[in-house]
Amino acid sequence: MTALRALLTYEDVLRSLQKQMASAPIDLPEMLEAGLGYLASRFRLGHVSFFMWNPHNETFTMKFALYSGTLMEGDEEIHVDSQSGLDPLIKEGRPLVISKKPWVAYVPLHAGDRLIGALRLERARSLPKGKVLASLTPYSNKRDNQRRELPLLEEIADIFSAKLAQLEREERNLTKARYLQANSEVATAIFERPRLRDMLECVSKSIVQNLGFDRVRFYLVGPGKKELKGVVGFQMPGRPLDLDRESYPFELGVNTLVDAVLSQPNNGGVHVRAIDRHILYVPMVANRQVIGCLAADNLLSQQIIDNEQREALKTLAGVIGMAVVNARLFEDIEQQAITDGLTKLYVFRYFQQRLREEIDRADRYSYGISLVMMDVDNFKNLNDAYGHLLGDKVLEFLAHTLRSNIRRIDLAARYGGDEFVLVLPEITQQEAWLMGARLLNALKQCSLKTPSGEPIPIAVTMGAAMYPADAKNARDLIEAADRALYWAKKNNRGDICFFKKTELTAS
Amino acid sequence: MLGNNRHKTELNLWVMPNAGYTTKSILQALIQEFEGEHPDTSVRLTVYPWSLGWSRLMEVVKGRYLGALPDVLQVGTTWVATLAHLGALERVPESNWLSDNEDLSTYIWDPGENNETGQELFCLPWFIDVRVLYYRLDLLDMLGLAPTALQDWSGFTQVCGEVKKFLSRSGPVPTILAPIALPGQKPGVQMHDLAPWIWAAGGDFCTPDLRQASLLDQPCVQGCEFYFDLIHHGFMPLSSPTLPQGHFFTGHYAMQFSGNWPLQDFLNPSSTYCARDVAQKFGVALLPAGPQGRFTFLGGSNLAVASVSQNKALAWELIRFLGTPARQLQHARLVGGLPPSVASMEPLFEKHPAAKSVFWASFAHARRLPRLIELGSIEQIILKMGARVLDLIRDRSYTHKRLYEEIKIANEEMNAVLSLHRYSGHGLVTGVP
Repeated sequence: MTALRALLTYEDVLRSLQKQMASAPIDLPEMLEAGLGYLASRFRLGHVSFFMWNPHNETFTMKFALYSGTLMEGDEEIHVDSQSGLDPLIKEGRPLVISKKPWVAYVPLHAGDRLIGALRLERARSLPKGKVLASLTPYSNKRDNQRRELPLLEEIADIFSAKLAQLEREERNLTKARYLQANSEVATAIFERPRLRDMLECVSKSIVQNLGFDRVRFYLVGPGKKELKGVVGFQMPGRPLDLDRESYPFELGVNTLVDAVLSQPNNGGVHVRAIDRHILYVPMVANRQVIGCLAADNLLSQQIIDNEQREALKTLAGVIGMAVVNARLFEDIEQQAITDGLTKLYVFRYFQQRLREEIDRADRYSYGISLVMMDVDNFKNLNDAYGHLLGDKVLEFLAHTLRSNIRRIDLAARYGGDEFVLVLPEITQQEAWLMGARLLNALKQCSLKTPSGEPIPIAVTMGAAMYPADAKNARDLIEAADRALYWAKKNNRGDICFFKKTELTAS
Repeated sequence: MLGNNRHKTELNLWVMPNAGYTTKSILQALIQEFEGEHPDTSVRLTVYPWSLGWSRLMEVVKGRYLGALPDVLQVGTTWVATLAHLGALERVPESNWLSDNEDLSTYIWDPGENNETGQELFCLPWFIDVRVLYYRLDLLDMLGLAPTALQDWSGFTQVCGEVKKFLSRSGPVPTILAPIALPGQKPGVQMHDLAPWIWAAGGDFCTPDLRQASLLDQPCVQGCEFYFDLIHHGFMPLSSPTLPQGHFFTGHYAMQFSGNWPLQDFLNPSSTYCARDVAQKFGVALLPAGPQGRFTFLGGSNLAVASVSQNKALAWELIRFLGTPARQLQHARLVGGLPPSVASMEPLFEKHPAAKSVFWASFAHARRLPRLIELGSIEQIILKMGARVLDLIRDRSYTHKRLYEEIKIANEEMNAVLSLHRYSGHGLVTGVP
């Protein structure tokens, strides 16, 4: 009767354990806390420990131990040799009771046929008399006890092994899902974002978020293979990185990043930096040429980059490499379409588009824009006197002077013929005037000479208007600047004049 | 009936096993009190191991943690700046965060010092840790040694040698198994285990401008050698099945470097938690002085609100509740720590004036780890270096040359981490706290 009662109780307990484990979270410590906690309470165990098996050095390493409902990390290693008494656990894969007083048992955990770890169940104190239910070693009849004890431990082993296998599976599936998501997002970015920087920004964000890196950076080999230049990157938890200022000479021994790119053909495409597997350099190759490098790291989190992350990145790097080539082609064509062949300044159409965008931005952030229009004084006479080739040189010189004297956020465009235009965002009238004066002064330093060696004096007249003070939209702003220029040409040649609704005044 | 079915807001509190296996029961008592005051709130307590803490928080930061996200976190002082930099912690609200009658100036250190700028608060100190040396008076007596022998490195090493020799002869103190217990609850060799010895040798982890690692500087190497030699020579043996990792107050060790003040329970001679005889036979000393002076480590744990929390106001309420001086003292007594403010600390030493004077003197010798946003990452590097060196000791292949090679790897890793701020655009870290 007692044996039957105990047997039924065991089944109940196993069922409950199974239920507990089924509802346990998808997280090893939480799962162990729930499962081991249940075992400890039902079987009145003292310590319950979880070990991982390392087949290389035949050692069980304690990962966690549970006591009084609290799971703590362990610091114990058991080398399994003939002295340890744990041989049957490894060789026969069956549970083992290694001590009766105090009662200590080891339960092997398997993933398929592979031993992955073990549980150690320990009862520190003997049970109070009369306590039979749900206890291991409950019988007075020792033979009976041993007969039932091992099958029970085997059941426990099966339940834990199944849950561990499930955890492993779910983790693998989740990883796969994240990698697929990364692939899909990268593909979308490549198709939807034709411009290089924009595309790489989006790609690095997706890699960080889906593949779990701390940081991803893109470097591209510069023209003439003289340098490796930083482009963009992304850093957890949501910080874009501007790497414009990073540039390294493209030669061996400068730094590990350049070395990784230069040594690419010999190392199978991926370079894991020796320092503890926290940095990964993946050279990007397109048309058999190394075009740059994708650098991923886990320096801040100090999490180790695993083989799956490495392989996923390697696959993506191939696709991104081709996309970089395409984006560069697109930008080249776009550049050709929006820049003037002679002066290399933007063309009228692009100027109009950018002016509208700048006005939208100015509205959003409440700042002023200055539009400066200019033309070369007596340009027709110059062409007539010295020929169109020299006239072209004058225009080239003017374009170069404009480019060198404006800020990164400004835009210079060829409006048509000898007329040029500047869009100066985030600026006051006073600052725009200073910039105009600086330009006029720079033009005076012209070193162009006529075929007979005489210096060519270049003079330019400028008309400027402010948004939103002088105009409500792009069209009105152009008109206002044009009127200022017209007035200046008539009244104040060689200087800069600002538009005013009531009157036009020279600076 | 309605009351029972009312939907309760769940607050997730994540802490480390500060009192070992009794952490849960100790905190549950405080939590019940909080839930009593906030009937619509239930607090779910998670105690997770130190070894998992960092990677778990990193998973939270990366949005990859699958379980229930934390509202309130216990954060070690070494982690605060890094987690704050990563946006994982909420800023402490300007008003109403301290409990009534609480004055920041009474704290052992300004909580703002936890982050790299020292300007903003991200956490409230919960308990602190200042390292002292506990020793067995009775054993020193038997060996004819005075506690003054523990004053400096050479005297201390000599005492360790004497104790080891004495224990090998199985003396009249049979419970004592080894000269020194490994410090702390965290496994392995931590940055703060090495820090006092590195500082005492005249070294530090970084250059004064905090831009480069300085682990390879001779004083730093010397400090590491001193500490690891204690383990290598068997003075501070690693745990094993026959010698479990222990606590000085269990009576199995002659000495221990510790930042804890023994559990209140232990100081009661009828306690069953610790070896009874140790209560009358222990002394407290400052850490031995090294060639360049005497230093100790000052650290501790804080409470912070996770930025992923959906119940931030309530989370601050819980911190405010746990952070009152009375509860800090209550908690410190139960977990064996030191409350963070001078006022809360006084009652702890009521009956132990000698120990109090040593702890107070320790504060004068105490230093904090360098204030760096990468400190959490650097701690992991040092921890891994420690693990590799312990492996060498286990394999009996430890030599100073091998130790130097491991330090060199850690130095390179540290430099890689320290180079991060050059890219991230958040500005350079300057000045030593």
